[in-house]
Amino acid sequence: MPDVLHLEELVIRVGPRTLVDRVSLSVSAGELAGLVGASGSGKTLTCRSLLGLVDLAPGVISAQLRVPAPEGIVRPYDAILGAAAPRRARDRAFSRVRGRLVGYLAQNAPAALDPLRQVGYQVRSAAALAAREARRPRPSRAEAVPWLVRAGFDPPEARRIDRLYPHQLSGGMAQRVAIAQVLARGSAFLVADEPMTGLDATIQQRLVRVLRTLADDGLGVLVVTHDLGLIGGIADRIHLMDAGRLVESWSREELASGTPSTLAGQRLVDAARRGAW
Amino acid sequence: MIGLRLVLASMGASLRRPRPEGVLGALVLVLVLGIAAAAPWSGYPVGADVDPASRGLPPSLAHPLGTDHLGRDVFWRALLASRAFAAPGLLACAVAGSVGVSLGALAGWNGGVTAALIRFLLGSIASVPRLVLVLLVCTVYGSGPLQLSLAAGVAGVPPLAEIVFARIEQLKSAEFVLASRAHGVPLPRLLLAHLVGAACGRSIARQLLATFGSFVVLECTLSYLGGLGVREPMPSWGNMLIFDWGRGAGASFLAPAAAIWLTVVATSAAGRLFAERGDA
Repeated sequence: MPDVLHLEELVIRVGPRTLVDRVSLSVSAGELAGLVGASGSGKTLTCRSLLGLVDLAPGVISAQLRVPAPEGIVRPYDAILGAAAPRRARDRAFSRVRGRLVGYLAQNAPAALDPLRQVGYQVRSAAALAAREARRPRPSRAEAVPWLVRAGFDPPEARRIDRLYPHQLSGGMAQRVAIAQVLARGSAFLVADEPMTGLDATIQQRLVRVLRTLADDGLGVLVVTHDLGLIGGIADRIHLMDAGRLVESWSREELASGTPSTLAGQRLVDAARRGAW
Repeated sequence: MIGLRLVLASMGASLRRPRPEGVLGALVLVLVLGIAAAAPWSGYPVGADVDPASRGLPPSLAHPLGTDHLGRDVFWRALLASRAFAAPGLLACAVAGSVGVSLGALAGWNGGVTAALIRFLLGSIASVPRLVLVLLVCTVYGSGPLQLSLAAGVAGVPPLAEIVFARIEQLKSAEFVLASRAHGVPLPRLLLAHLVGAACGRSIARQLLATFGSFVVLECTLSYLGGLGVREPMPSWGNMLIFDWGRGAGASFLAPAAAIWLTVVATSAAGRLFAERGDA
């Protein structure tokens, strides 16, 4: 199993408080994994730590992160651990990971796009970054449209979207544009931080199906959410966090048949079943 | 270079539906700068144009704005006087722009001690009145167009840097900045294309135009006061104004006064091209 993203022994502290306590998880290529938990359980911090984006003090104080790359396994935290790394050291250590190996879908997609740039420009810049790293020629002006189509727009719609500004998009459209950026960026893994926030139920389901398709195409996808009902039936694996700890990990079969062994797991499954019925 | 292109593109985006007064102002400004650029080829004999026989003449075909009390042609001298501020003014803008934007971006992005130090420096510069700062520099380093424009450029740094600082500090925790860091956008590109270019482009352009306008006034003030600015026989609107005050015919001091007024108003009007959408 070469293409697995491993995170081990993640500890995140803010001041004296431990917000994430020895969390270990892994995501393989082609897998759709869910990281589920209540608000404040540390799941957003966990997913941001995969990109070195925990901007807190002291922040990540222990972690082993192994990201598979064509040139070998990248271990970004090894260089900067021991002390709370300043942002600049972290940015340097993660420069090979961010975007190229691990992509990111933000919580609030409309806010995650530059409000003053056209959509096409922003998708194209993602493709341009990928092209520069691979020493390919710069993408042409029309390059954004195919990525938008792959992210779920019809071709005519994609051509129209190309020239719009983010404030002219709905939440669901903005989320698909963000997905187009990740696709254009060519990331091997995708971390989606509560991508369903603020979307209506049908668009949420459509988004989950898009993420499922991406995983089937070979991406390793980690979806952070509090909505077990939405992701439970479609994810390959569910990790459950509670109060900063990873309390359970279920495969899809275990989730469908088994009973959760912890109280937190039981509460979450109950809540999901109530929502479904 | 890519940064410059992006900055210009982001300014261009605001020019799609230009305001008429902005266009008019920009045209006047371009005309003035064009005259200054063409001035070396005018063939007008500066310094050898004294003609006692034709002094104090009213406007005529031969002298469209009349002559001053030494018999020199006011029209031509007023045109040539644009050289006194055009290139130095642009240099001052370049200094204010490059230093101001870099310092503002550095302080806004890094925050903390860096920001405190930079803002202390900016505050120190801003605490000296512009005219005093320029007089000080010219007294110490001599009075030439180069010293003048460097001093005025430095004096123009604080307002520009504060604009960029405030905007970047506000935006650096925005979700799209986090997202672009997550996409691995290199920091220089994030700063130039998204924060400075897209978010501050218009404010920077407006502030640079204001810097240019105040440089015109500054240069005319120094030349008017004499000693540090452009000296006779070289023409400047400032020294034309004082030289003929109460001595020549009406137009000979009205012309430079009107030229100063027109240029400054045009500069300010051109700034309207970069007004935020929705601004009245």
